[in-house]
Amino acid sequence: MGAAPRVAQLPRPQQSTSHNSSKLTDLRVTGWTDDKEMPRLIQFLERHSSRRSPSVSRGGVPQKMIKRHKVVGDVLTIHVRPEDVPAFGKINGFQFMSAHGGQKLNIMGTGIRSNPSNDSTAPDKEVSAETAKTTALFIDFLERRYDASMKLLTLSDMAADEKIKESGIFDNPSRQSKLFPVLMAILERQLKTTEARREAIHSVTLSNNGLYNLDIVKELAYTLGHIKNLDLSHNNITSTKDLEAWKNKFRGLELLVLTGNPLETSQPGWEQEIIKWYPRLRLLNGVQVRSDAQIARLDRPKETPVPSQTGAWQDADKIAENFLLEFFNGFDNDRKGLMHKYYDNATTFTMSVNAKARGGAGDQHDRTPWDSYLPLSRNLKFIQGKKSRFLRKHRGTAKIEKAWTQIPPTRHSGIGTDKFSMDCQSIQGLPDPTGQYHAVGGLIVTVHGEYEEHRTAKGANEIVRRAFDRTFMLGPGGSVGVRVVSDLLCLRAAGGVAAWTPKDPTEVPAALPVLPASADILTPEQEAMVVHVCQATNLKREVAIQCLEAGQWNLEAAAQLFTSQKDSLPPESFN
Amino acid sequence: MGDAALTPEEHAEFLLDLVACAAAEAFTDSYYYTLEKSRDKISSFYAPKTVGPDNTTPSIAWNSILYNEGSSFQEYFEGLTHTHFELESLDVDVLNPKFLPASDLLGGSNNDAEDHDRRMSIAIVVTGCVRLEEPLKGPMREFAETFVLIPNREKQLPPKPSFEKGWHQEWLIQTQNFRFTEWGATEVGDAKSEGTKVPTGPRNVFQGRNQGVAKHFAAAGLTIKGKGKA
Repeated sequence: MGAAPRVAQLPRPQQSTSHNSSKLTDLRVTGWTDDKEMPRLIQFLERHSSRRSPSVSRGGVPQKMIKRHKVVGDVLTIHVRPEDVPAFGKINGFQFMSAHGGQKLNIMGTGIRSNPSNDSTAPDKEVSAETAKTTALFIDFLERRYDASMKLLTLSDMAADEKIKESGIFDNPSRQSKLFPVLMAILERQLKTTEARREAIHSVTLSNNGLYNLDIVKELAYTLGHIKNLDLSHNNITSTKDLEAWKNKFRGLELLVLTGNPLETSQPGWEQEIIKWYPRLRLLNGVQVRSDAQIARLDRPKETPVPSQTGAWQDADKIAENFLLEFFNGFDNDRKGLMHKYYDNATTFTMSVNAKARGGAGDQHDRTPWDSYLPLSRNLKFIQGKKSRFLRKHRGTAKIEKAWTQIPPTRHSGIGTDKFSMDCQSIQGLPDPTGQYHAVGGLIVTVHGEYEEHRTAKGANEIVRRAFDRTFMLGPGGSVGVRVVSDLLCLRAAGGVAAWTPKDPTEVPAALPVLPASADILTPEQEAMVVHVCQATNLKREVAIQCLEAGQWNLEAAAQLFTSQKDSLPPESFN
Repeated sequence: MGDAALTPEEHAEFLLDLVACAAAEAFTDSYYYTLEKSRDKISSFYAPKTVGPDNTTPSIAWNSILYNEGSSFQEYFEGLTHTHFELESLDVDVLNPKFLPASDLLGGSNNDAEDHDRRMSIAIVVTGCVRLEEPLKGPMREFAETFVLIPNREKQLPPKPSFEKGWHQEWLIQTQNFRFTEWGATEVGDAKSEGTKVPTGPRNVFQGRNQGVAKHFAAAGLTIKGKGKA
């Protein structure tokens, strides 16, 4: 398959050296009978080939296609420039109208597609006999090199193979370059489907082939792209560039051997490059480069994260909890008092407005204008001026207080309920206001939720809601032992689809473990408890189960329940 | 807003803010690109795990799950579907200008009063939208994220770092908190038509009436600037 176009390309390298007629290619034309018609035949060939030649400039002085010709017997040999060979290939088989009737012309020579064996003027039958011989040679080669039990194809040290040597393929560099494509083509003929090849061959060895790059073996990736193990050891590969033809091929490759190549020393860091190319590569030169778990992750179905209700809460001393309860109450009712309790002259406050939230509720977002918020907003995506940015950052109680007076009255209701999402993490390296230490530990608290605002801007008198994301850095110090180091507030349009609340009521996870409702599905332990209770109390089985269920399957709790209620139980409850 | 000239103290603060803003922009560009396109490099953004004097470790809280190291977070993230993040707001604050002791700074002056622009820790807050599952069609949620970045002790930076050539891990993530803040409209599509989305208070009377350019202006909250609009 891959061999045919290659043949037509072969003369190319000569092009650059032979723009003059110094190196012409010989083509042999047969199929004609009367040499008296030679001038007409030459004219015929000239006319048809020139139309198909890229080198004949249109409109210029026409160049002769056939530089020289001679007739020997019934063979006309023409000398043409190598770049014109394809044009003659195209007119191969044309009908020449001689005085004796139509005659099919046969053109042969290097670069003419229908006749790959360039040194033979023999008819088709002999050619196919030679092809069959070559095919047989390769099939034999493949059979000798294939180990069915290991599912291994050994293509190492090919030049040393006795039978291939005999065939003379390695005597001629152009034939040598064709060897591999032909080999792959024959392999595809033997094992027709990808599945068959996948089943039969797991590993390929290409060691000791003196490869400088992959030019002559690159077809392997097309025919046997599924293999898991590949050995390229003891070749002459000096850089990963030489292997680029196989970059991102062999998606299932697990083992690769590149030992004995100059690459190992000439390109530090080559391993990283190679590991990237093959996502499932586990062993490179015998060294484990990925764990099984890592590879397994590639194949497992990708997940989409589901927002979680529970918060990350590292707040052993309830510092953050107390702070938040007090903060939002204070922010709604007494901003000044709040400020002087938790803020000081080193505290910073910044606010940014996200006025075009595209995600979430999207078009359904409340479109309440941002009024007096915008002059405070330090959203770096919109505020580009360096000075403007800086002026929208507020340090110290005086400046923060001034900023806060520009924020309309707010009401944060339902703190601590699932209307809000709150996370608290411990953090190191906050500044120490006393200057005693370089850094002190603290808490980073993030809160997300919505608040209501009494909007009076532009003559409005309405309650609107806004969504916010607020980050506090809490450190030790201040009058109450906790101070705000940094307060970063982001505001968004409210969309009413808070992600931390379940999107569908049926998805609410049960808060308590679901208890078995009927006796049919009691666990063995529960069954034993029921028997025990029945014996001890003489209760009927169903009543005993009810009693145990009410006591959360705790024997003592159930016993207490029984003693407190046994007098009110109807007699039919007992056996 | 005081337009008066900055005091020397404010000027020093201003210079730190310049670096912090540039760092925040370069960092977020690079980080969110990496989350989307080269997840194998995620862990390179994280500081090595440390245990503080009070026995606490800084953590990565992503969607309420805590990770102690960049590598375990990367491992988790590699198992996720397509993600495409777009930032809608960005803000930054200098947390501790002296985070890195002067003596630990590579190429520094070893003077505690100097080199704050290379020794500081910074806090970055981001809000934006994230497309999940598949490009263009997948659900798009809102998210909010907070990062605390600390200087990378192994990098030697020139004074007044500028990040003109992109982000090269000059600072590393010490602490992080990510939250989805709103479900995607398509994910709650059913719920919406059933009226689960109950608006509190009177709605903006212009809702749904703004089309074309006006719609985008309204979405950007810019209608207040148009005097003709009332």
